[in-house]
Amino acid sequence: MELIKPAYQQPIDKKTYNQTLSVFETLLKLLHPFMPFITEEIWHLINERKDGESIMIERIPEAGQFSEDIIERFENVKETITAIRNVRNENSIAQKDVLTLAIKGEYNNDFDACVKKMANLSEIKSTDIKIDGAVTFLIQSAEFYIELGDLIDVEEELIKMKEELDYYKGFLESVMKKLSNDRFVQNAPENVVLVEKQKKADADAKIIMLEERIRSLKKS
Amino acid sequence: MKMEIPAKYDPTLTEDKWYKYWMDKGFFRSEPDSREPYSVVIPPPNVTGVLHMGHMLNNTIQDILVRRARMQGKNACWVPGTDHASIATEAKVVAKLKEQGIDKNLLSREEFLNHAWEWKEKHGGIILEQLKKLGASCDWSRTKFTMDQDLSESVIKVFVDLYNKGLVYRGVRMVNWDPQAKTAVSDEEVIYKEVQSKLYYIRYKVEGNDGFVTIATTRPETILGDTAVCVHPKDERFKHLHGKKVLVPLINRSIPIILDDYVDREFGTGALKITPAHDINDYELGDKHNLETIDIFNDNGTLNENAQLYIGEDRFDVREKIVTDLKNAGHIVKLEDYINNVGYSERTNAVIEPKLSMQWFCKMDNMAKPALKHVMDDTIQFHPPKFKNVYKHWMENIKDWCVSRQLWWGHRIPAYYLPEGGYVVAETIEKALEIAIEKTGNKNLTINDLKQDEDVLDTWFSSWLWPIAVFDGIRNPDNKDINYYYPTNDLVTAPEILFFWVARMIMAGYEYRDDQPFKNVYLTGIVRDHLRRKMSKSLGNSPDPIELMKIYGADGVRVGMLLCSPAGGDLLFDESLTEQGRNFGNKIWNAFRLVESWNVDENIQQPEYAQKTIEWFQNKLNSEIENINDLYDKFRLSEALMAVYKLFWD
Repeated sequence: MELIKPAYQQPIDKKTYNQTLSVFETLLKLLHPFMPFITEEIWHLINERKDGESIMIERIPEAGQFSEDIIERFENVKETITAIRNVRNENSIAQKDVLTLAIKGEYNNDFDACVKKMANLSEIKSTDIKIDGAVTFLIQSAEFYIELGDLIDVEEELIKMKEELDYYKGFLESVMKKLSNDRFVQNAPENVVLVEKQKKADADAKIIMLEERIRSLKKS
Repeated sequence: MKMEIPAKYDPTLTEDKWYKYWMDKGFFRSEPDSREPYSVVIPPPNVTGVLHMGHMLNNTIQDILVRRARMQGKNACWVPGTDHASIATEAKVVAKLKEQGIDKNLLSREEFLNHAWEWKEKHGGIILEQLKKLGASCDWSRTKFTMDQDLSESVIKVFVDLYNKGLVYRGVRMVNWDPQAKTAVSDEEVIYKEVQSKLYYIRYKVEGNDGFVTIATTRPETILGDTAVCVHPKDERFKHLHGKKVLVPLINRSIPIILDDYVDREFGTGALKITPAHDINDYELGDKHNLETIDIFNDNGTLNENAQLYIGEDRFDVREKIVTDLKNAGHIVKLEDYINNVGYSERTNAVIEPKLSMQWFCKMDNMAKPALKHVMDDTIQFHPPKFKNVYKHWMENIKDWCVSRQLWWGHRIPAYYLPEGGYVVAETIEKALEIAIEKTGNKNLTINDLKQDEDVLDTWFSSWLWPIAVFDGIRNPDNKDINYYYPTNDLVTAPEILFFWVARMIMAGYEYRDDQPFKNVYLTGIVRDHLRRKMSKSLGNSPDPIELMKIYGADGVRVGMLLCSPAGGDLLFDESLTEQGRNFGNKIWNAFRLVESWNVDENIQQPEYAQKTIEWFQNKLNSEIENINDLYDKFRLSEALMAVYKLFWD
């Protein structure tokens, strides 16, 4: 729904609108046996109905052909959109600021139009080389790059990153203190030790991520 | 032109409106035609009952199945109806009369039945009206009641037929007697509870010498009906008593010492009192050793003349009195605390008294065979299949069915006693007279000479015919309806009545149609509260379904029932689930309003993203429909609902 809805106060094209209603009607039919009343009410509002018509005597949709491939690809699309939104959040970039996305590796571009709309991208291009200074994430085997360029203040961002890096290093140190204490490791309940080990793994990952990011920011 | 869509969905404005529309248009009606039939018979609720959460669950599931089948283009027929519930209804009417100061025992059968019918007319059918609120899409023009003329005729016809086939017979048996309702009840209607009792050690004087023998019993009042004392033949402690007699304390009746290896030498003293009239094991021993049977109880649990003492007093009062008297006479050796299982009547909670009485029985072993086979080979499928084991155990150990009940509300047994002794069994008194004249050669017999049996048939003796009788397949075995709708498709019921009802319907199905009564049996869980307690009036933990539907709408409650998480087969119900159900409805409503609010511009082209998204959703939808169909086939309706719910989300 989010994908097809028109921009705020903008009209929608007739075809999409009709297709949306048709899909909605299909869903109502699937839901009717469970919720007979509300589905009948909406079914009558969604379209002009003649006297004697009813959702309860409509045919329930039967399963048609479908492609697992398309469904799976779309799951990737959702993941991509979520990843870009995370990049925006982490770097305080508003949804209205247009970004570009570069992709290295195998990627199907069937749904580019959807990604562009949902992630507010001007362009999705492919690249053969790593893009320095760009934010990067990985989905399956493809690498995704977003150049943030002027949208962030490099100096300010570097300071923020370094502060964060220091915090995680300190945190890692305190966790390591515990884990290198034999008495703790041997005597504490198993799940408590496990939690500490998980903390260590998380902190390690975060530190690597921050160091990588600082390196690439410095290059730009 | 667009209609104004209200901001909020209000079920009170739509539910009655649409139900009326569906009824007016006859959408629930079903008549045989060329389409594939899909038929379901409702488990008939008690005619004077009111809707509880168990009914809500059960009927929500049935309605989902029926509505889906109808939308698949099948000719869906859901037959509603009610059960006369012999013992439950009679107990209610007796209690109501008592409140008005009327004693059932002072009424004639006819007077009592007038009261009962009045009660039925007043309260009967409330529950069916309640089911309409839930949205149940039953073919109401087919509504049946187990005591309707046609169904009663079917029941009587079957009784006579089974009698003529030698499958119904009359015999003395030890039955579970409910002294409060004054009727026999079936084994399944007896609830055993662990009770803290006392074990009384009582000594009996040996006749002809100064010796004593001590027995242990939890029921000292029944010694008045003793007709033997039994010891193990190899028990050295009692060798000197072989061939001797002992005297029943207080009444000094002489009874033999008998020998049987049935006796457990480790229990009590190793010597056992034998009371054939009041204990099932003693009855069998008595039969084996040809012992006298002395019945010391009246039908209401007081003692009779046979007891010689305490005549007219209640069995529990007598227990205390006799212990005192035995003590004073030096017969009590000792008392021990003892935990034993005591049977209580499910309906009246009275302590069951094993009692010998003349009852009507139905032979089960041959009927059980096809019924067992066709469940084990999945001709009839149980969902979940684990119930096959319970079923197998029952069917392999089946006992003859005591079908007579000492009640008035129900189908009166069509047996007619003759003045010169003996009886005839026939569908009508006129037919009975013909047979009687032929049998006795007495041409002067008139209808007035025939005395009909006072008892009625067990309620299950009518409900076991339900899937056949609602389509009139007993009286008219080749009619259009029965040929089209039978076997029915799905039966949705509770595991508690798997034996009472389901097993017997299967037996009747093969006996009278040579065919299964249904293809699938879906056994629902028991609805419990969030603390896992069974819902009951006395605990006050059962919400009123009608009130719930007023607050959350029928749709909300239906979804709430399905959202109950099954835990060990039970459903833990919480009102917040119906709230979730309502919220789900509101979300759909809001999604609909959003779409409706879009302005359409005929001149713009469809953007690529929209085209692609719709292409994807079509694929997703088809894949999910396949998944949902599979879940329906497995009766995993909650999961099917969740799948639909997720589609709305996407």
